Amino acid sequence: MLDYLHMSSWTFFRAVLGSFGLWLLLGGAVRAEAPAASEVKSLVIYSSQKEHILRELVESFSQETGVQIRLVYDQAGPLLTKLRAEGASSPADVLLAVDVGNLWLATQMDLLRPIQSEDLTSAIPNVLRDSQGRWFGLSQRARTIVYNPDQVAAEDLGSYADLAGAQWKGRLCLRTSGHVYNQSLVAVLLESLGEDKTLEVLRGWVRNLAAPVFANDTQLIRAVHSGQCHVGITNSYYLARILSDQPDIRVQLHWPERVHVNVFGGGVTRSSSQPDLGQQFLEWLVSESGQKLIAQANYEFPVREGIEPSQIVKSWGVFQPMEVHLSVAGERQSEAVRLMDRARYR
Amino acid sequence: MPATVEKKVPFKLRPLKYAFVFGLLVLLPLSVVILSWLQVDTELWRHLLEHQLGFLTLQTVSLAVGTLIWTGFLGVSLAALVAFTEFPGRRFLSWALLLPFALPAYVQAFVWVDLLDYSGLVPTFLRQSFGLDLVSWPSVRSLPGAWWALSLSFFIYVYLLTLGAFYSQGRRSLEVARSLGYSPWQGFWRVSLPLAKPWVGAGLLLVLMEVLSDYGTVALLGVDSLTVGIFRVWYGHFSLSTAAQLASLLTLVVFAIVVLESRLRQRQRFYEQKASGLAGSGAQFRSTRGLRLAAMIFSWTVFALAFVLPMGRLLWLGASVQDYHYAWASVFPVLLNTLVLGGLAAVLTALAAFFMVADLRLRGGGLRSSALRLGALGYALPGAVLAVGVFTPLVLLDKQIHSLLSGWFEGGGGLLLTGTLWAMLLGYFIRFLAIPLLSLGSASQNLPGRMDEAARSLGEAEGGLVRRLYWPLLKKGLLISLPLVVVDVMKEMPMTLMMRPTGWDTLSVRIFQLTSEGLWAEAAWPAVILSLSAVVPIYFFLRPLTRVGLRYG
Repeated sequence: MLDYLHMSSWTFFRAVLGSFGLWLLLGGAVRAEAPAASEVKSLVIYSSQKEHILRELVESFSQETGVQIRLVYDQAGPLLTKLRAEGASSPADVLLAVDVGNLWLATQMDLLRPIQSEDLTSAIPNVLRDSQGRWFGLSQRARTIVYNPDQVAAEDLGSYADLAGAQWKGRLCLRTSGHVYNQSLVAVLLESLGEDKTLEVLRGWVRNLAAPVFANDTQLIRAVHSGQCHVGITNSYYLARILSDQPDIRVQLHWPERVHVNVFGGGVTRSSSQPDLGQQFLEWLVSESGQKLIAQANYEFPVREGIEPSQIVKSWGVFQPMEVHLSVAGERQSEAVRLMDRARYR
Repeated sequence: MPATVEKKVPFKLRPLKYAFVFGLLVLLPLSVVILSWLQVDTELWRHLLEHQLGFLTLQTVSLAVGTLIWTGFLGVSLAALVAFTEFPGRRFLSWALLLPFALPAYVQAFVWVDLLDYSGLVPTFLRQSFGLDLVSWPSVRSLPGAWWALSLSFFIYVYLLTLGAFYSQGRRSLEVARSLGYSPWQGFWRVSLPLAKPWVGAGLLLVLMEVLSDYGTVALLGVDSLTVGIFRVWYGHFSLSTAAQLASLLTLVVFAIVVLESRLRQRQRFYEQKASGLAGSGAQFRSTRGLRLAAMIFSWTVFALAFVLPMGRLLWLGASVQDYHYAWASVFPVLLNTLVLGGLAAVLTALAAFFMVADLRLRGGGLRSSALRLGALGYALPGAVLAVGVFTPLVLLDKQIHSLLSGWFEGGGGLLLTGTLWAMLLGYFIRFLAIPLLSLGSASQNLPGRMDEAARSLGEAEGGLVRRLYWPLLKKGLLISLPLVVVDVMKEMPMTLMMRPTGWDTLSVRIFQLTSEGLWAEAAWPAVILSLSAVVPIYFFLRPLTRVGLRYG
């Protein structure tokens, strides 16, 4: 019973330690057995995209090809550090990441190998993949403007930079500048507007804030719905997710003339002992069936042309992406963060 | 000390004198953090100094001070009520007050944002039902909001350690104070509380470390603490080395506080010894009816706010989810794994801490006492920084072994250490050693050194001291640390992600993945299960403690 304090304490702890140790050894043995026992091909994926979003994709790839997939999820920063520390001994074959900045960083750390693939280059537009074939965008994520139709007329909305205007004072909501989506957005604005103008825009945004910056896009969308703020900037799939649950939410989407697009993407690692298999996985992801699944999984925009997005996404119509090459988001990210610091955008 | 005593040391206790090595394990990640100074990005530092650090420091200090005041107040008052008064539900609350601890702090924070933010339940209800537009309401996403949410999650440290102190004093000290003409109130302030000071201090230190290394909660509540700054530098400027440099400064501050705190305590020793001389046996202490009512209302309110309300909200959210697949998938094996690993980490850290403290009492010396303080630092580093710090040297070692082995047979067998449960356990060990170290340290502080001398003069050798003196007297300090470590392991995330074997999963990892995509309703079930399963270690480890208190008190 719980009266173990009356047992000789040493005996007790020896018993506990012994049984735990046995369990651990067994656990270790089971783990060592597992890969050896199976002759099936298996692929190890390091991913900063969440498991629940990837699950269906990975399962159907496994079903089609018989390749077993082992997913290792971590946040991008630690994940890349881990991959670099493991070096050539890393078990990883493929790296998946949800922001181009991280893919770019992976190439800077020389973690990804260039691959030549007609399938990949023909399906994916130039600006959405690395020029040397080290990373490829697998789906597009649009960062755009949302507004509350009770308080804003659609025709008053323009570009991201226009949100710095005085007419939006006390009406704008933003997510924290600590998040990579905003850092990427500001990096590409920096590329197209230049430093001085971008800083001015950032200061305008901060002046216009209706509430302290939000920790995530979902909170921000709710704040727009509640009327706390009239307009905000968010990734479109967050709105789609909420709409699929609550179709009558008072939030609508506006496409600026040129929309900032980021990617969920991936590449084959330097350490992989089976790069062909990794390449096969990437090619499958941009195949028609793979792209359809991606489009459904998270309400994102397929990179391949001619694939229908999901119903909600289709209702928003088409948009024009910015023509900036995506690796800019990585190259200028640190600069962008500095500008946001200077503008006191928290 | 006479040489004859040294000779009597039984052979098997010899290894005890190397116990300080456990504390030095933290040098593994610390060295990684310190080595980052080899490469300084002066340009980035200049930018940070000009635009970030002042503000971050100010926010961090306010965050820490506010949270410490709140946790101190909640922890000490609840411990006192549970220990010294009688009110309906006291026995239940004595352990149930620990339950909120199992809720990751950022989930606690989410619930409060979900309730009180402008778009949250309460203001929306007021707007829609009464037309009350509370635009000028203070936002819960603010410093006071962070004080509130963090305190409700972390007051447990202070509560539990202080409760341990009160139990080990027994009720007698209060009764004696009363026999000396003090009112119960005076007795509490002049005798019981001063006696419990080292414990309260240790609890507050643990809270401080939690607060300083916390990322999820403060990020959610929009407070820019230094840890938020560290991640901004790491992820935003892609500069892990500058982030590590910032982290090393943070650690230095914590180290200074740890040292300062123990200095302060040493100065008080005499007073405490005198005070413990007051203890004797006496009559039962009875609480008045008014006190009883107040105690009941206060304790149950805290319990309701910290646990019942968040759990209720989570259950409500969870009920609306149709697709339970991810939340439930093989949840019980996962849970069992986590519990066992947590239990193992708890026992190992507790034993290591006990040996370190015992060794320090036996032999003393600068090395041993610094090892004791260093050992606590693993808790102060932001989780992801610590994880990288443990992983990097381990994988280096692994590669060495690998190249050695591949000389002997082909392939070399891959990486042997990283990705095993052992490596994960090492990570947990380094992170959570602080908890038993601090709680035992304060228990040990209350044992006068004369006791050791007396035992030695009666012919006890080292082994006898450890078994017949330290073990029975420090046992309670150990017990207190066990549930805290188990539950902390269950909640741990960055280390688990970095060190886990492929396919190993924990509930906290699931909760994080879902919540970071804003899927709070889906995350509700895992969060509820995590909290409820924490009942097992809390009940199992704490019941004996409360019984010990009553029996030997």
